[in-house]
Amino acid sequence: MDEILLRVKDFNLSYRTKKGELKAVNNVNFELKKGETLAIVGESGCGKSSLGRGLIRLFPRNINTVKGEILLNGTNILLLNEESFRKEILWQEISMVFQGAMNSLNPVLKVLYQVAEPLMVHYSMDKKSAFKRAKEILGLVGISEAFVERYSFELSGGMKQRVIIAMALITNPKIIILDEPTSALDIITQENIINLLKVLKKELELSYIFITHDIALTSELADTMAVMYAGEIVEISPVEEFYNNPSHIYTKLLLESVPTLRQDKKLKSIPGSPPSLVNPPQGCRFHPRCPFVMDICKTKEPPGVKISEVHFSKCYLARRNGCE
Amino acid sequence: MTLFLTVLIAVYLTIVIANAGGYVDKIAETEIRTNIAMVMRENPSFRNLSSEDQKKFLESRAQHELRRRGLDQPFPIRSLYHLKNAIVLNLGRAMYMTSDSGSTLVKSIILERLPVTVLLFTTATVINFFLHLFLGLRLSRKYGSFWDKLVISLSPSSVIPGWFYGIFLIMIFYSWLHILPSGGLVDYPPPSGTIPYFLSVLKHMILPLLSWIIASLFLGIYQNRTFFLIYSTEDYVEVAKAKGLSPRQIEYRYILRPSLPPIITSFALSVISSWTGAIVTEFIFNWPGLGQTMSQAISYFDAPVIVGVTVIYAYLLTITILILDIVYAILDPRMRIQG
Amino acid sequence: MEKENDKNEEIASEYSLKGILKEVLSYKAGVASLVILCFFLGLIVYTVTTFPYKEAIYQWNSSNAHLKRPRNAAPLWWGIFSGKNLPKNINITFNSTEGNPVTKEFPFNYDDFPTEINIFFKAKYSGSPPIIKIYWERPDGEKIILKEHTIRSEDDTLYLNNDFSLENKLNSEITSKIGSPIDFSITVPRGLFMKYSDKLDVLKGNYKITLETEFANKSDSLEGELVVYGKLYGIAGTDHLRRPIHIALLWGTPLDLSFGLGASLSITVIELIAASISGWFGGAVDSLIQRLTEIYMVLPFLPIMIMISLFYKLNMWSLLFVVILLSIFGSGIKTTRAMVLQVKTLPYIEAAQAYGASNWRIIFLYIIPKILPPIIPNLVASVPVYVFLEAILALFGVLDPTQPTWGRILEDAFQNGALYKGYTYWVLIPSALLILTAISFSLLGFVLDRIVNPKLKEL
Repeated sequence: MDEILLRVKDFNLSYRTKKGELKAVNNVNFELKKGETLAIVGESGCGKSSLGRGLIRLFPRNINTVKGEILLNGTNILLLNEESFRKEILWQEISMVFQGAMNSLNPVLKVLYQVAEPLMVHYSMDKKSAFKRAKEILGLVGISEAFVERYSFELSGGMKQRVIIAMALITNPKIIILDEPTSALDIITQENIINLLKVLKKELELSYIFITHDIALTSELADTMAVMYAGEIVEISPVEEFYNNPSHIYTKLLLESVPTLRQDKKLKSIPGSPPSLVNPPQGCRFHPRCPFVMDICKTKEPPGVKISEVHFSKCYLARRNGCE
Repeated sequence: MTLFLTVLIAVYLTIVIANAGGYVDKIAETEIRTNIAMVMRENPSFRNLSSEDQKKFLESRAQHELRRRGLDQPFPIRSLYHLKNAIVLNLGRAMYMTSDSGSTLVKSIILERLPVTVLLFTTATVINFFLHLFLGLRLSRKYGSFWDKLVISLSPSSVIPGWFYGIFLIMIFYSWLHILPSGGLVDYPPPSGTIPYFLSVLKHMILPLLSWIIASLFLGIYQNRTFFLIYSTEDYVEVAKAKGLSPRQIEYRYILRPSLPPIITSFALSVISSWTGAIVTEFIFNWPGLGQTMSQAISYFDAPVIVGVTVIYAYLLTITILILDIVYAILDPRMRIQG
Repeated sequence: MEKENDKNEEIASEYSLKGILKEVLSYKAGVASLVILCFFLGLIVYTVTTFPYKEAIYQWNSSNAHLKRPRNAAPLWWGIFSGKNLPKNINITFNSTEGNPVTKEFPFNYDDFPTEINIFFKAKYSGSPPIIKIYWERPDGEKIILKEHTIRSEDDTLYLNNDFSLENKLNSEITSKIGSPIDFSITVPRGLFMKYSDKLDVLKGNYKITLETEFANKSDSLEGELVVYGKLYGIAGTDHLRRPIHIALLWGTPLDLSFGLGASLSITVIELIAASISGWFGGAVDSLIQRLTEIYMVLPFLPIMIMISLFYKLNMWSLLFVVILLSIFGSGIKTTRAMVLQVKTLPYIEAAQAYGASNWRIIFLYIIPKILPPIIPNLVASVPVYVFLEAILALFGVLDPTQPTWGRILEDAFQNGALYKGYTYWVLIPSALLILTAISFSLLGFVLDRIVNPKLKEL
């Protein structure tokens, strides 16, 4: 259980845009242990999707620089050439569950085919066996045989999401990156999907990287929480510490803005809007919106502080909080 | 099928238009009279009558026949009669023209020339479709490159119709370089033996085909390339990349196949409108097809042929639409299941 | 907040005329197309102001206005291509009042022979007509009697090319002078201007023509004009009826362009309204218009156009009307209707309904302005289609021959075998104009498309 599967070191991603170079992911560091669910939370546009896709080298057309290391079982997968990455790592060691609301399924291919495809591509399986295995997996996620030969437009949102999960499972990967897998679903379907994910994780011994903007959701599933802001990871902590002892000011404000049923809380929101990633603020990227901003925050980037072995925070006020 | 009804109405309209000047009536009348005269001449007792009596007899038979078919009825009903004729391809007789086999039936004249037109048109269409498709696909991979910019800047050239390019091609390859013939189906005298004949036809097809291809090339490639670019930004393409499919597999299964329906739709529309250009191309290149028949008929003012050709074109268009509907249904499962 | 303001400005500037103009100019293609269009505009203004329509029609259709112009002459600047110095028209007038006999001298230094030689006479006489003797003197001093002739009427013309006695005389005289056999035929113009050698060459130098008249009465008078017809004439040459082609070129511009624009505009407008009605009202109206569209798609446009113009002898403007009628329910409606359906679901349309706007108000004030921008590039780009349509109809010989349009020129050219006889300019010049029109509108349409279609902008 303590084996470290994935180690991300100083990962940087920047894109070319009309307005200049956009630094989407800035010096990201984290680790994923076997059987762990790491949740990466943040506002829209904070770079979490770019990070998620970047981990499997899924870069957009206007990618500019890729720096850092992604060590999978010791090998830096960023350095592998395309062929070997595609043939050995992609979708076989790590796969991805995409957002169901996206047009993630090819409209002119049957869903059974699309789920079976990775087997045919990576293991040269013949159609018959691949289809057989795909049907098994689809059954596992709750899609009955009747729907297996359908097209994506014939399925409901929840069913589509299940198909996408099946697609990611079929090659028995060790790590699955989930990018907002439940964002477009109604609450009941959301619950169902989350439960399914829990069951699958246990049965198949999976490790998840769960990317979402919904903090409340992650409390059910996550072991570790990572908070992302303006392309940077500003805090990583185990889930209980996250809720009980948040360190970074942004994290604190995030938690305060989540409405709860029981407490009689005034709804707070964080003033201002996320900064431009082309010209991010100097020093701490959060300083323009921070109610506790100090002079040093405006000029020097705060170093990461290890509050404990498992708790990391990038805030000048961290030490103080942690020690209290 | 509603398509049939549509054709019916279209042909009816054609006839109404043609008949507003009474031409179609005359055609039918002439036909009837000729028929009666032919039949009567076979009849020996008829031949024995004096010429005056013959005339009277013919006239009364003709009147009788006209009344029987309702041709003395008001305009809309007459038109229905003509409509029935047109549907069964009873298109009357030409006034001046004859088919190569000597018949004056408009139907035979047209049916003789029809295959030639279909040959040229279909070949051009098929070549164009695949050319645009694959070149467009290749180009979409090289977004922003020199070829891309070249094709974009040359695409306005497609507004010039094919036959116009044809004129220039004739000027270059015939008047100036003397390599290719300026028109016609085969050399004169026609070569004997099937293979030399076939080769000769091919040689004569080069320029008309070329003019058609050049005219639609750049715009066609540009449109397809734009389609592919738009379709390659779809989410499921990204998913396919993440799944580890090879670029070729992605191109064919995730970009080409889903985009085929709209590509075919727009291609279908262009095919339908290119029939018009086809007529003029035949005229410019003296290609002995329907287009040339039409222009000959115009110069002779042979009304029956003109009307007949128009009706046949209506049928050709209908068939084109039918074929495209079928192809569309095969390709898009959404159509199959929902419609 | 800043971002929002920027966006608003962007939208506003996009859809104002000035903004669009600026954007069009930012593209090289846009500049090019506008330049060409200005050229045409200038041409139209020039034509309309200096050459009134009635005059043009008269000249185009009269058989007499062009007698003094050469047949099938190339444009003046075409001579560059042949390398030789081709002859231009030479007109010499003489009047008996200037003396009797009267001699006129003119230089002929061209490398090629004239195509025709005619002498036009205007005589005033009472009683017997005058009798004339014409002498021809070559630069090498040789003088021959060209013709002895009795004037036949007050307007008399000597068509020397068709004068067989003259031709025979010249033929026998010259062949005997040359001695050796020759491999070319001697026509009147050749005979009068050639060197006496076995190679066909022009004798360059000053020629003299002398007119000696014998009048019956002292009060009689005679005016003559010698026209030596060249091979070059005017900006665009002449056609088989001696008409200067530039008449049709000049007047073809406003005629063809207005045909194209008129067709394009009317069809687009009507299609717009029909599609909006179809999409907005839905139900039976929609189905009806849809079926109508299908019928239209099956009707073969060109054959019917030909049928109509043949059977009913229409002029250009009625033809325009028919074209419009035959095109309005074409395929453009389908795409427009799809757009209307999309716009229909927009919230502000619902809002308009909520406050009680009438259906027509919604259609004209809300829907149409919204779908107008994407339609404009199409409108612009379809203008050349109709201009070419006019050319097609002319080629098939179904247009009104009295109207001087570009298509008309092409039709005359083809009917008279321009390409086979080497009168390439006859085809090239109107074609060039057609191509220019096509390209300018098409480029403009492309540029507008990029401006107006946000999806394409990113690409």
